[in-house]
Amino acid sequence: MDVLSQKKELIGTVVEVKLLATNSTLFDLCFSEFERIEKTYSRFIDNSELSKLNKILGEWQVASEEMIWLISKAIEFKEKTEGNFDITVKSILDNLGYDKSYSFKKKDERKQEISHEKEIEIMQKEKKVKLNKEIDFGGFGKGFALDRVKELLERNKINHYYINAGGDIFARSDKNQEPWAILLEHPEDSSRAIGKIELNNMSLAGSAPNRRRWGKYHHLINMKTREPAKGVKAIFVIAKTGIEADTYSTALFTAGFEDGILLSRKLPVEVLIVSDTNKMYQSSGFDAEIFW
Amino acid sequence: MKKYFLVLLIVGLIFGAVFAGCVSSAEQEQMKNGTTKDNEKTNETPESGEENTTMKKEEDFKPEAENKTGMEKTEEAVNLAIADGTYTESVTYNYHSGSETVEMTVVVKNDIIEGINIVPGPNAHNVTQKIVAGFTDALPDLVLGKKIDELDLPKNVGGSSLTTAAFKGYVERLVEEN
Repeated sequence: MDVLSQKKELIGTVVEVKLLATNSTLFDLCFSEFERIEKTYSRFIDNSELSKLNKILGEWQVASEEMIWLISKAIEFKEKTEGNFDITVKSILDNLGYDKSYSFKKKDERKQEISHEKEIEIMQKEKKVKLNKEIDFGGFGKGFALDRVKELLERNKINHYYINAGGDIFARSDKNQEPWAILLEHPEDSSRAIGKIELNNMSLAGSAPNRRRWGKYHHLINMKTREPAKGVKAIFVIAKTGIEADTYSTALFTAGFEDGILLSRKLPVEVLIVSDTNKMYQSSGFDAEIFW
Repeated sequence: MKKYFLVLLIVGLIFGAVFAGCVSSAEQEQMKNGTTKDNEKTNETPESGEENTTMKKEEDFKPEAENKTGMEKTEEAVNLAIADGTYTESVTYNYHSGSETVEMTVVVKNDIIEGINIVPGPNAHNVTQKIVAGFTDALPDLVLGKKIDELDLPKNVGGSSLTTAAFKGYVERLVEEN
């Protein structure tokens, strides 16, 4: 059966959705969910719920259930990744020039931050949050959006689909259809692939600094050195959900090659990691055909 | 004799022409009423006398839509309860201690509901969010693949009577306005 594809620029990247021709009426539904997520959680949109929270540090604020869930999840991921995934990375990115106005200029003085033992506090029952540092969902926002659109499609009884948000993919094949084959992009040449993998009811996320680089900097920050991470050229992570794949690919990239391999063994993921000296690590369950 | 045949031929031609005109008018009337059957029409002029007019040639077995005339297609569009499309609206409704806003999206094609999405507003009360989640889980089985103007929803879908009433009202309004 024919598969149709539609693309739109959303959540700071190009989003592509593929559906069977018989389900093509649902493209708008998918893109409107991406739009909702962007309007709510983008730090680049001044009146997003996230931007409003970031404006008032050190005070309890009421937040939506979804926002509380996301922040709670981020705290859980920080623990699981031994601090390599951290949504309080925003001030570092701003200082390096990856800010709301895309100045791409490093600032001389670090932004004032209220110093507290806990960077984020949550009152689950009251649905309140207190931020002591500004936060950014760039490390797992695309994965979260994939999960939301996937849920939306499945609630509407769609079992054959492919959703790609700038390299973070969730795909599911109906038993009567061809499985989705995904090419793994070469970290230095986007026109080439280093491998191919079939994806069914799983998420694949890739992290590489080649798409968001300015000067000697990129957007994947090592939280220990507070500088752009070094040691890894590209990483591909497979996990059950989009938010896990996105989070863990960010965390493993920033951990560096050796530490990233060790950390990946403690997480529910399969990985392919390419070091900046072109060494490659492929976990036993990362079932890809590699051309490298 | 020749004259007799000539008179018969002229009378025959006149009757033939009048009869053909009547059929044409009747067909037009049927088309107006949307009752014309294409399969009957395509067999009106058999190539040989042996061909049974009720039998269909292989090439006549086309999908229904392909066999329809332009007029019939236009009539179908006019007869739809609602134009095809994706409809989204923030629907506000009252409950015992205030009001809530829920974004409701319905995808319709040929009057059939093909997709839905229900999202509570960002400021929705915690209890509302849980209730709307129950409604959203239960709704697809009741509406997907159903005609939008023939929905028969219970009063309480997934434990939420107020959200159900709001959805019913939204759908009725959509059909009225589109």
